[in-house]
Amino acid sequence: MNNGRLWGSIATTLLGLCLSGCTVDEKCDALSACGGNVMLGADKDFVLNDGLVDAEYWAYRGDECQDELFTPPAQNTLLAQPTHLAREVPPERSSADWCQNLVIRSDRTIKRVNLWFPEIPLRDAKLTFSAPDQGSYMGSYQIQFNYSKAMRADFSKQCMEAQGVVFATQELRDSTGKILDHGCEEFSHAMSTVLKTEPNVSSVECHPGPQEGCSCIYNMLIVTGVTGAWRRKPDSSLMVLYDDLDTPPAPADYCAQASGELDMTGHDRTWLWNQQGLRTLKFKRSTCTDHKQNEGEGGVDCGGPCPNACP
Amino acid sequence: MKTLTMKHHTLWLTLGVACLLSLNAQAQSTEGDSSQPAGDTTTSAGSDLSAGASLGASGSTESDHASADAAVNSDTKSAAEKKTDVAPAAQGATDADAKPQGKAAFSNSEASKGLTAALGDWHLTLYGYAALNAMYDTTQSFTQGIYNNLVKRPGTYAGDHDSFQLSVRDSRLGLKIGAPPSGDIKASAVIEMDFNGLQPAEFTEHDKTIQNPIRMRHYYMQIQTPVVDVLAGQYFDLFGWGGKGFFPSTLSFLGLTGEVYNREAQLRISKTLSSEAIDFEVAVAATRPAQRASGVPDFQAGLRLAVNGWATARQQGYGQPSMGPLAIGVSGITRRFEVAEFLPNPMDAKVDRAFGYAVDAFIPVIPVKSAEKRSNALALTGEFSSGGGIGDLYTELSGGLLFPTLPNPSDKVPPPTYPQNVDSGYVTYDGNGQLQMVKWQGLVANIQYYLPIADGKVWISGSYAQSFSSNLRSLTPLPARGAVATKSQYMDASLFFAWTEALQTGVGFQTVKQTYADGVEARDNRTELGMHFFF
Repeated sequence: MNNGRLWGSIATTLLGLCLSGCTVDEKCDALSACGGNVMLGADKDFVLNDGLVDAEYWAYRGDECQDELFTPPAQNTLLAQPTHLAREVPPERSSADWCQNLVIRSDRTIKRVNLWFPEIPLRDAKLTFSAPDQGSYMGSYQIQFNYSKAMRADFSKQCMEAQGVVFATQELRDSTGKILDHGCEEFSHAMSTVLKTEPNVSSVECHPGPQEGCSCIYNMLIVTGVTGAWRRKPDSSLMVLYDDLDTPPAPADYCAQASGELDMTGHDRTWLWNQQGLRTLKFKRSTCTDHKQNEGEGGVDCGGPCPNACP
Repeated sequence: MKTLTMKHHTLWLTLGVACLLSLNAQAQSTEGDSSQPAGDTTTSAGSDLSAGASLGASGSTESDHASADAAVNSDTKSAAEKKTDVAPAAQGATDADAKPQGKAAFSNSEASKGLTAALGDWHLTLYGYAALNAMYDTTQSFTQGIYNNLVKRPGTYAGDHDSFQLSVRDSRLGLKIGAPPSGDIKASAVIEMDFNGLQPAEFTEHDKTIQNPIRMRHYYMQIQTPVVDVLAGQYFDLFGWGGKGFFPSTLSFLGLTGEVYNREAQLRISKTLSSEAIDFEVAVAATRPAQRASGVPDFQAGLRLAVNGWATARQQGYGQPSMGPLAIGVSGITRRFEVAEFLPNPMDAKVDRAFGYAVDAFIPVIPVKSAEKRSNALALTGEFSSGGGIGDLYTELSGGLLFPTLPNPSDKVPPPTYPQNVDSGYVTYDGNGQLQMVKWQGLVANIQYYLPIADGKVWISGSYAQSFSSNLRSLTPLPARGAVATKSQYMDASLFFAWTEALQTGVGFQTVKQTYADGVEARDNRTELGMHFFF
């Protein structure tokens, strides 16, 4: 073909255009990274009482960007299985148990149930920096993450009947009219009882649900914290966060502004404080006008560092 | 061991090719060079057959990429189709008798060239192509084809990092054998292979790319009688009328997302009522069951109508353009599942029956007279399919579904395992132990247009395709919903150049977006370059 060069040029151009324009957008864009002084304006020691001033920041739901990670449930059926012999087909992989790994003892108390799915989002986080000691480059910090979500777990009828739960479309009563069994009510009671000892779960209620079984709703709250030391290079926007558990350092790009806003982004797409999937957080400095009791205040926006004394 | 395997394959191929080429050379030396202009299929058969050996003729290749019914697709075609789209060698000399006058030359294949040799009344055609595919992806989700594989979720390493592949695995080699006719009965066979064979998981990336095991694609015999035609062996499913001209034009590897594209061992009986104006084909087939424990084969049936006077040039997959008539096909499938009860030691089975249907259409919007002068040819291709328990009929479609985990109420160690007797993805058990079919809907729409440059040697195509399951989410236990994708949407655009009769190049852009059952969306963008030498 005489026009070979022409077509070759067109093809090359199109290929180049495609290659340059086909990247997929990231879910979490990096926040600003201007560096700055996270201790700006701090003049009180209200956390450790160690003579070093502290600065407190808060972030709330919506201020974070987390990767939408999915941690598949453990393949329970594959645990502790004997090694299969040559030419023996190994057990197939499976998805998850319709019964949430429920195990009910013979006395009808619940021995085990897995209520940890799906992933629980961040509710808020409190970050407190303590200034570096004189002559030191490293200060200390502590951060508390609160994750919460209203959750739901469905238990099918077959699943519960296999565990000895008796279902009836009508309440089962004895001759005196006392309710003997009502499927979900009893199950709800058993769930509440067993989960009383579980600090992360509250407000358990079970009602008739899909697949003729019970649907339980509950609140899940997970509180976790990290303490450690922070260090920043002078004239740099990179802060390195060490924790007291000696996990690998978590470098972060940050921007602390005079307005009290603090942007933090996991450096090089790493997770902030090694929290799973946590890529960015936008903090705000605690003030005496934020309608919250924080930063050593005696009440809401009064006492402590605030000019207004508490009534 | 793998070295031995490679040597074995290489030796086999070398011997086969050398044998065929020597036959060809011998025939040429004794009967002269009868090579013909490529694509001149309406006139080639006679000369081919009389000469006994030729370069040219219309062997057909088809691929997971360049689709098309391999070779001897004369089973149910009209006389005109038989004449032109089938390798003369494979057809046998009697094909010439069937050539109608004044009827367009249609092909459901790419009509690539073949190396044809004659041995007495036997005819052999070697066909195929050498391929190089270069793929750049924005994720690390796929090996070669996108198909219906899951796109890695964003936020994972594979979902956030790109990849680049160069592969020759889609190269193809086929052999068509035409036996001497016996009265009105003609018999032929096709064996076709590519290099996409399964590899052990412990292979290195290097080995996976370079040492490619042979894969059986089409292995079938075909018997034409005055009453019915019979196809026995492995070929495209009748469901979706695979290989009958309904594949889209695209640089992407077939099948596209939501496209019916599958090959099965089968016994097919068909009858084509043919005239100058229309062809009407009826076919039924018993195919390999999706689950051998079902105890019975799957059954497929279809009707196809082609309007011969309304045709245009069209490409299937990334094959070579050929002529195709206006056509519509409907097809259906039914299959039985007999799945072991969802217990650790099942003694009984749950039985259910699956159904599916597909509607395919090829519409020549701007007709042209020949595939060689195809400027301004414009064609649309479409397919809609729906059914339950038919995920295997779409390439690698399962949505990520696995059987649920068996409950372990007595807390046994090790836990009980389910002795699954059917592949994952077709059926599953719901929370109440009821066997459920996984429902899927597929949609494919494609347009191709041949630019008025160099007789249409430059052309463009675009596709939209999607797959959707209405019950996959509800059939997946809550903790596992992040692992299944219920919807995929796919789009592509391709640009092709035919540099010579044999050499073709395409560049394309493909994008696929998937929605996981937990609401997360994942996307992959692919840029592809394909170079192919057809013979």
